[in-house]
Amino acid sequence: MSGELLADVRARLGVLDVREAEPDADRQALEKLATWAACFSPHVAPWAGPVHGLTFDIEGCAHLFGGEERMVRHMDERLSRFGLTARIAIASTIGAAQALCRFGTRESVVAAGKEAEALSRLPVAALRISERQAASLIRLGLKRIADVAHLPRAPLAQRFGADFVERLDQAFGRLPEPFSPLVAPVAYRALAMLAEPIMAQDHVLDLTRRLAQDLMPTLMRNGKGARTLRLTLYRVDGEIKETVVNLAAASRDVVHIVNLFSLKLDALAEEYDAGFGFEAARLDALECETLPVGQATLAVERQADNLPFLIDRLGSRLGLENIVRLKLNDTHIPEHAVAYAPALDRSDWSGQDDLLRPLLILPCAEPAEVTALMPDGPPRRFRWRGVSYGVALSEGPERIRPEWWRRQQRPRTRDYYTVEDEAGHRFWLYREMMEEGDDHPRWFMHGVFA
Amino acid sequence: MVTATKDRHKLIDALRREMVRTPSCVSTGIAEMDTYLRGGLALGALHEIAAADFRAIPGAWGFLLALMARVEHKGAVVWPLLLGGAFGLPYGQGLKSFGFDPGDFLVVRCRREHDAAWAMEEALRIGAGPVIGARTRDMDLTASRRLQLAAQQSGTPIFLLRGHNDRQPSAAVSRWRVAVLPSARDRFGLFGKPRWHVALEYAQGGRCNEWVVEWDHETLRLRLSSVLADRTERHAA
Repeated sequence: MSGELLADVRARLGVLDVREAEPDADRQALEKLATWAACFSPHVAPWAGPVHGLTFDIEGCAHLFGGEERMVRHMDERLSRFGLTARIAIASTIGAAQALCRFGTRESVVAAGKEAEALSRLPVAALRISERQAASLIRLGLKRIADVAHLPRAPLAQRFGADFVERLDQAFGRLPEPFSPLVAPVAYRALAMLAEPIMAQDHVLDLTRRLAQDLMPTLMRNGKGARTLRLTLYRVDGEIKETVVNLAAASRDVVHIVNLFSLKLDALAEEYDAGFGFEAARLDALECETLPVGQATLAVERQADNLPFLIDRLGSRLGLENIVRLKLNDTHIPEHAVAYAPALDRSDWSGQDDLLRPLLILPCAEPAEVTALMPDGPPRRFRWRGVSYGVALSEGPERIRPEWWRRQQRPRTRDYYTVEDEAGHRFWLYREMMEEGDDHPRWFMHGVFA
Repeated sequence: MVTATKDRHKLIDALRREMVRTPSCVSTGIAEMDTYLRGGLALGALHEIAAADFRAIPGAWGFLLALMARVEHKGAVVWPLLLGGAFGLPYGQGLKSFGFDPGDFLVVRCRREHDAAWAMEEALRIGAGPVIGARTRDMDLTASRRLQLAAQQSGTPIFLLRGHNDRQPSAAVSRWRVAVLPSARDRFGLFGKPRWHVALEYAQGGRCNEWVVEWDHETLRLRLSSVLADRTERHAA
């Protein structure tokens, strides 16, 4: 009925359910399906044209399902659970597979080298060509692919366009065809399909252990260790759950990795919704680093150096960015001199002069009211956080000038004083240099000494 | 039945051995303090240091670090840190004056109190290095006993700062209370060493006592402060 007017069809049939086309929603749904379908093969991409479909690169995947025929049956069964009727074809070229998928039988598997035979009976429209091209071919009596397959190339290209010949050759495997999967392929991955869906967290962890055991020998063979791992769980209803674990140091230790996932899943317990269970799972090593063969983790002896192990365990629950070390910055501005750096990035403090610095520093200097005998003299009394302190002894000033090469912030020169109050508490106060227009200096509390 | 009795005997034997076992310990650097602590600072154990009042909290941190400095650490001191401490965050160069390499401190930033408690226990069980931190408000006897057990099993000490008005019971093997005292002046009338009044309020198997100590940042050790050192002050009075 395509090409007819809506009014005509409605008049003829009487009852007609009419819906607006939603190309965007269709595309999104197809992409979602493609993401889910990565459980068959991670190399999957939706078709580019107006016809909806998915292309899989199943090289090295079919044996996981027990051969190509069984894989087709398995896919069909899984898709039918979503209420989708699938047409599936396996062939050596993308063109042939798409042609068979759209115009062949519902399920077809073509052995390598048999494409010509399988394609010959199909109509020319199966070649992913435009309707105009197909119409003009049919007008000339070239109805099936067999009719055009052996015609000379040059006149064909002249008459029907170079892209027609390209499509024809791609279908027969005479020209290469690029394939770009939706998700960048991961070099190291392990996949498990389950006969029965699992729900309990313990079972998910068992499965993760199995996947990790599958994955690690490959990593070992290539002398790699995983830094980032992603566990993808496929729910029965098509939802996908992803959990990413980052490691402080490259590792191939299955027990350790499973532990990290366990902590992560504990932390995500509220969001963790198994629904009717998970039916498949995939473990990808997203980031790998060279790790010599023969050691499972960077820590050679866990007893002697178990710090990376600890960092991973803490990091997987609290976030690796929260496990930090004090880092020395090359600046003399006190609040910038010490920063936090990732735990494995250890800063060298050995060359640092011993400066008189407080043990604890306030994240932001807090204003203090200070009484001094002279505007530029040491403090005699001060008031901070509502408490008044009498100064028994003060030392200073230590003048810290702003860095001249950072002009835009225009901080002021500071005079730091170390003061001890009458009870023995020690503080670090500073006075900002007065500028024109100020009638009295401003004081700030910056830290406390032990 | 026979095996059950045997098992029980074994268990009782193990418990007896546990009771008479002297835990390995390190000296505090002050001989007198060591005798009160029955040998020194127990290694696989929980120690609590409380400030006498709110303003003494930095001083209590100082004494905590001074005690911890006695423990050998292999390049890692784990410090679970709750954000929003009253006196701010640890400062690298300040830690240097306690003889530490600031790079050794593994700071664990925790958003929630029970995260900090979890991180402490985890660090103790793995035993990567001594643990320091602040006692959280919800840390009851059970929680502190867990930490004490974890410390005992791995032989790693944990030093906790206790709030000055924290009255919760705890399983710590030593409890201290630190008050800040005015420091002595040096011979030029400048800053002397920080001086604290330290009370040992509880020591497992030991006795309680009080001392006035000073932290010497040059020799990196605690010293008993002699009363005669107050000459300038007495003179002034």
